[in-house]
Amino acid sequence: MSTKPNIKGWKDLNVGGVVESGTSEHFHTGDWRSKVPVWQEKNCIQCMNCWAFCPDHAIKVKDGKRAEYDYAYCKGCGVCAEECPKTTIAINAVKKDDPNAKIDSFDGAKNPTFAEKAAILMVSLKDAKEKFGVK
Amino acid sequence: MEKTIVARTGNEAMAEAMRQINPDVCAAYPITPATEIMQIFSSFVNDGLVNTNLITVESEHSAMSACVGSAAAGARTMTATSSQGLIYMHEILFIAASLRLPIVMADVNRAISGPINIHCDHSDTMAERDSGWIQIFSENSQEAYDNMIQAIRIAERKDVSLPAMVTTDGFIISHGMERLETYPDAEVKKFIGEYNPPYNVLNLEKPITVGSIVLTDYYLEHKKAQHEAMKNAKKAILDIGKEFGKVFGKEYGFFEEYKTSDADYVLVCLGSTAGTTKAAIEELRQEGIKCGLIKIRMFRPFPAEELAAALKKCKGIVVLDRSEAMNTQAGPVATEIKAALYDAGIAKPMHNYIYGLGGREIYIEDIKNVFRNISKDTKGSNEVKYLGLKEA
Amino acid sequence: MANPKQSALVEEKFIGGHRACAGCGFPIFLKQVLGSTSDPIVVVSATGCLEVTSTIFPFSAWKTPFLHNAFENSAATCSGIEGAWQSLKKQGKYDKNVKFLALGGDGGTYDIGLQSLSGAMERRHDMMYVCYNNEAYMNTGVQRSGATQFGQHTTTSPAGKAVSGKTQGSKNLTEIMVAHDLPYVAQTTIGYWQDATKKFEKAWAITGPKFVNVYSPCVPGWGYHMSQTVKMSKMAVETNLWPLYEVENGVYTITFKNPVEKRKPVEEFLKLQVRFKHLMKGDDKSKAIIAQIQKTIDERYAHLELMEKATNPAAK
Repeated sequence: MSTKPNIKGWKDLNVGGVVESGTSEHFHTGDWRSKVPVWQEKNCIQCMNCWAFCPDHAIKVKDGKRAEYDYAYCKGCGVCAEECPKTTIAINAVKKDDPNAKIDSFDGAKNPTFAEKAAILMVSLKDAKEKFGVK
Repeated sequence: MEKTIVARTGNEAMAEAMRQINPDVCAAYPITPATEIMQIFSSFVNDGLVNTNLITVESEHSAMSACVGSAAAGARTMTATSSQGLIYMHEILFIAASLRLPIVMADVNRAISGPINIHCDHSDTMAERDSGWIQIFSENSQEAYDNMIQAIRIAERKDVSLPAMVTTDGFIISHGMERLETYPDAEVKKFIGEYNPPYNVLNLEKPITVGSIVLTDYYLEHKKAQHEAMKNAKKAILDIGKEFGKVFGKEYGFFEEYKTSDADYVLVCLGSTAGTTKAAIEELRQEGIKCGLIKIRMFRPFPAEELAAALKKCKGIVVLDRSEAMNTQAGPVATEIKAALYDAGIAKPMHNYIYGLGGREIYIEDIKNVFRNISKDTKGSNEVKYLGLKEA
Repeated sequence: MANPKQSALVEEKFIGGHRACAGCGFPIFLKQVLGSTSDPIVVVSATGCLEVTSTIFPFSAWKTPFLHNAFENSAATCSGIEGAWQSLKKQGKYDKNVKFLALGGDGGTYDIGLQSLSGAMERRHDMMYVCYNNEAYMNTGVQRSGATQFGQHTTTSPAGKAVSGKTQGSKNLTEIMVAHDLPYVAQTTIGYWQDATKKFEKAWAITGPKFVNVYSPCVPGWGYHMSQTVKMSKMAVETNLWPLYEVENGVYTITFKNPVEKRKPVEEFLKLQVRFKHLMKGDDKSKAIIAQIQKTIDERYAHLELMEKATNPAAK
């Protein structure tokens, strides 16, 4: 864990303004989300695609396996859900020609068949809080 | 201490200082009239006389960029350039200063294009006066050599940690052969000491991020820290100049005063013109005009208070500017002097001349005339005059 | 070569809390390049999205030494660090094994930083330069660059009534780097994890100058939904707009074989993005622009096949 930056005035700056590495862990980007990914461990095949393609390092790894989301950093882009092979199988059923349209229907919680099969769901903030207890 | 007396050009003297300093890295690019410095230094490298890794980059912009990388990696880093090369570095000079990297550069003063011209004036160095670099001017080869050695200490001092450029006048000093006293390698090595970098990106135990984007919340604070470092440089310059005097026999300060104690008229200039001025003063004093010289050595930081005090007693001031500020008000040196006098509550007649641009010769007679002019003028003049101009 | 399962075991050198757009491509290739060696890496980056979003003072997403100097001098700056390392090692003042990585976007690499890159590569510094190419100046708000495609809409090559997007094609920078006779040059993209990690691993194992050009989709600059980043990257490869290949000491290998008869038409890729939306009207002018893009793609791929055949006849 890096030290949380605490700079009150110019005298607190390091020479040249250099900063300690890894301090962005104290900056949380989770509040950028409008949709929330929900991991369903029972459907997960541990391929780690979601970890690999997550641009925000929001998927924790424990003993080489996928662990829970780190919602402090997840911006809700949905790449994980897109790249999840289990989700892709499910999502094909609702795939439209227009890739942008697909996203609008990309809401596993409203599609029971999809939700059952998927390893990752992209749901609204409201659903995430109410149905899945995601903070 | 046993000194060696040799005949050296300014470029040779600077290269010799660099050999004795033995930096870890040099990154440089050829440009007239500074090329020779790195050319001579390259021979030192390939003859195994120094441990330096010479990075022969593809431009001055990359030279300064590589210097920033090298200095941030904990290496004592030097370079040399001039004119277009210096102003091509412009962008990175500011970054080197803000990152507080104590890079030392030999800078041979040369006119800036256009029109293109390879000869001496100070417009290159003056164009970088706000870059955050310490700027040291030299009158001759000896001062260039001495200043290079001191610049290492000044730049690297912990409370300073700023880059420094040591300048000579293109061709006049850089290519002019003069008597030079050099000091033993071991003594120079002892004087400059081991390099202890301000931080190090090669430190893997404590990795750091250098060159962050700093927005509205902390940019001002960064600049204040830099400002304080420049203030500290003033003290460092005096301390190290004194120490240099003790070890090597010649003490250095912010500026040199020549026959100012009883002078009615004082001329202020930088670099090689000081030598010409000294000769003119000798002759004028025979004529009964009591005149003197202040040769500014340290242009950044600017010794405003000290200069004002030194100019307090005289009746009139002549400022010679070897570069244009194109503000139609005064050259860069005169602007600074005026500000210094204003702060000290001093108002005196002052004549400001732009002279020697593009290597135009300045003669003893020219200097005598400017002293004669001020001695007749009781009001002073705000007009910027061009010295030695062909009117028609 | 590492699959994501293997890559996930490596401790990450770049972490969250950075402020890249949701769905951005560059953090993905950073995971690939930084995770493909167990040696410590010192990173230098040109000014650009990657640098500004990862180092907003006093926060830094870098867990490895990182330095930013300016826009056009990532390679020169990195060469200075590498030069310092060589000098200090030779003098016995430093003894650690370190790798050096210089980064730049297409603006900082194809355009303003090209001289600096060329110089550093010619001087044979032991460093890898990775260009993350998203085909425009995204950090300043999507202006055309040397990497921008023919007909592509950017804010300085807008799809107007008289002129329809950029009127020049993209510079083939990878081939320019091949002409530097480097021990390793490659093109890859974020979507092909194993292709990317295999190339980075190979590059890291080589002493000397390396160059890798990574195709990295940009959500706001291209105009697609943020969840589609990896899909976009793959589509660029499937249409041969971004062929995956490597050149080792002059020997070409196409790492994703996709001959003309198999490749998808480029329109399949273009139609997914707002930056090419103006070409989807079906009029003659738009069709001609698409045909021109297709022609360049096919010619470049044919050139690659030729080069592979000539330099690497055993390649399958």
